[in-house]
Amino acid sequence: MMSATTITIEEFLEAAKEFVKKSEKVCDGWALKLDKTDIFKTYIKKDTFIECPDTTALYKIEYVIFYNLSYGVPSFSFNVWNSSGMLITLDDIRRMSFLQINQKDFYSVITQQEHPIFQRPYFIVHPCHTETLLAAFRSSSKNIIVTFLGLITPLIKLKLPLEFGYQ
Amino acid sequence: MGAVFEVDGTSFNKEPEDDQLYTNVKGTLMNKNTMEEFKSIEKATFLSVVGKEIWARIQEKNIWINKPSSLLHFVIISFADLKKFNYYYWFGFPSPMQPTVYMKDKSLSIAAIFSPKQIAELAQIYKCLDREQKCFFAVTKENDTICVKTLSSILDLKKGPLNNIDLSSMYFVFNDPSNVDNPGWPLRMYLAVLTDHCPSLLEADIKVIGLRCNATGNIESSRYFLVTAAMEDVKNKPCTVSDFWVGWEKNGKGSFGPRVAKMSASLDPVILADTASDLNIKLMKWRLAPDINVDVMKSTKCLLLGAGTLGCHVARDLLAWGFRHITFIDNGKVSYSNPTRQVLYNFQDCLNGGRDKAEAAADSLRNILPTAVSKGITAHIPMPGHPIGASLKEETISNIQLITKAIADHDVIFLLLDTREARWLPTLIAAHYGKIVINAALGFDSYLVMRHGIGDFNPDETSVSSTWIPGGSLGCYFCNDVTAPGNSMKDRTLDQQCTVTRPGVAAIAGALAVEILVGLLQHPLRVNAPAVYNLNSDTEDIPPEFQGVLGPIPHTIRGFLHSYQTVTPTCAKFKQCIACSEVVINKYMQENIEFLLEVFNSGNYLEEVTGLHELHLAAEMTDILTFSDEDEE
Repeated sequence: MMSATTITIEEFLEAAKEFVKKSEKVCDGWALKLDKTDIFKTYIKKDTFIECPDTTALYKIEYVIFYNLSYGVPSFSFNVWNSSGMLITLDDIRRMSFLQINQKDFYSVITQQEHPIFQRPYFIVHPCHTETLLAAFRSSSKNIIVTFLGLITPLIKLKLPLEFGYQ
Repeated sequence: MGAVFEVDGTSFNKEPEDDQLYTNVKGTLMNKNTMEEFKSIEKATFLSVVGKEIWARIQEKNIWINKPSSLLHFVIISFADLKKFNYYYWFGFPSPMQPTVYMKDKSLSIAAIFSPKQIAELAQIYKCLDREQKCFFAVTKENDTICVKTLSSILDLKKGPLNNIDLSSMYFVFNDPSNVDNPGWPLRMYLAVLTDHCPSLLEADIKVIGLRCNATGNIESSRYFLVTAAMEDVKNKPCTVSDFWVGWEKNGKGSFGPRVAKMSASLDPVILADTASDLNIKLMKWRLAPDINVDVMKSTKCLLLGAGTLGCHVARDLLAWGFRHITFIDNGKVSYSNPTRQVLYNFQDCLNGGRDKAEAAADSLRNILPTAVSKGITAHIPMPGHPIGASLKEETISNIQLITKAIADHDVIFLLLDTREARWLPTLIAAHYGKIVINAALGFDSYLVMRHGIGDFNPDETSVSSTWIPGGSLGCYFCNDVTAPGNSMKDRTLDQQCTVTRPGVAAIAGALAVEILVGLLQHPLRVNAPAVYNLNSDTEDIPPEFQGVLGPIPHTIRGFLHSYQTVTPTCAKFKQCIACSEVVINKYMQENIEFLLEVFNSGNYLEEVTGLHELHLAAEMTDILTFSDEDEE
């Protein structure tokens, strides 16, 4: 029998709700944005600030995790603004040290695209390998979003409190 | 990282979003309509006026004692240049200049004066306080426990303290946005109201906690300050608290001045269109062809000779590939039959006798993408075998100069004309200037697309055993012909006289012409990229040095829609070519206009110059000999 490796929107929503609950407990700032008319437009997001270690310039980052319908997996997207509200370009992102992506592989991992939910340009981590990677952890995963973020955080310095792993 | 002061779209809401670790600060935005008005604001006076208003408001019934959050206020002055999408803004955090605050000692970490247990208590107290009390309150140490004292519990609403304040056990706490050793701006206001209300506190040692809470509610980076406040003279005169106010923010350069947000990249529709169309090409680079040079298309200037069916299709494909500089030369006007096939025109362009095609095509491109740099040149291209009368001589010469300059000014010349002989002059001039030439011609259901070699004729480079020809030695449109162009109204092969074609042919040929150009530009040797003889074999068998980023680049593509077949012949330069051979180019360089006029008057002249005439005679002799051989057998 072929086992399904993709996840359904219902599984995603379930995991998202649980994830946000855990986040509230540890004040990690994730919020669920539920769209009742179109559940595929439901997403979770977190706004945070980072300081560039080289210039001490301040940036605002918005992380959004949404359900990618074509790939049947969670997708990770983000945007970065400077303190005046100007959007940072992909080339600037590439030079910023908060990402730990090999410069050579950078463009194959992160690209700027029109966001499927917001219809505005966002930086999106390409979902093509997500399914295979998630499949390996699927049976042991307690929360698919925690597992998914666990796969992403080696690439993007996203401080994920260990408490997310607790039951 | 310290606290972040954030103003965004939600700041205009009447009720702020409830977020536990945020402190809400009310503010005033003053937007000026002109740059001059913005510049002419007297900054010091402005802040003092705002400060006096704040002071008057909080003094009324001493509202600040019950509602300490009213002590916090900010101002923004701004100017929006809505044409350039530049937004100038300047934050001010009005704080009274007097009393002057002195730090008695270096500040200490909160851990130096409170035990971990006490710190945890303070964190809990802070978390549970009402939003309006969070910014300014006090605590006392009682039997090792921290007790919260709201301002209303220690201060008399009328004047002075309710009971004597024991400064040795009282800590005045404020929400401190600073992340350095010094306290943040709210402390000035705190000490000003405290000392104004309780003059006994003036010049006394006051213990202050700058509460610094991080996103998870942790307050361990809080600081302890021991301070005194004293009223001093300003400009040698005694003053009151509300007389002088400070607090303009420094800008990114560290000086007192406004900041500017240049938002055109995310707000200007013209720039949005440009970057969005660019994104398509960048995605190719990011996803599929990492070695693609995205910028070369933007910087390459294309000249399109002919703004008809082919010209329109080529221009649109160039735009799609990220080219931005496209010039048209055509001498026609848009007619009613054009718009359905010539995809840059519409019905409006046909009215009143029709617009000049070159100009209409350029306008249309800019309508599609405003950042396209496009112009039209209306000029007739003189042709061999089409004699110039005396009345037209001056105009012809001026046209030749116009065309010559246009070719010299561009990097790529597309020949998209509807006759064979109109291609002669631009082929010659482009060969002389060493420009890339892409040539497309249509028959009823067949097409020809090719690139011209721009090197010298070199027979050593091409031998019978060779499997390829270097790009410079590739033939031009005329190299494979052994007759000079004359009048094309006579029956010729289909691709030599384009009038009636199946509509798809131009779209196919136009697309291939652009793809050949992009292939060349993406090849390390560019125009010198070699062409292999046999492209039909699997491209894996073709050595990598013959392939560019996008694969091997053919010399010629001939397609036949009738049978849906494509062939890619590769042909070398012909040393007696009537357009690109050394002898013709030399003659052009020496005699210029005189030579050209002679060619226009008689096509046969070219056959004499190049020696083709003799070749014809020789060919006829060979025929005779051959026949006689056969006869003998």
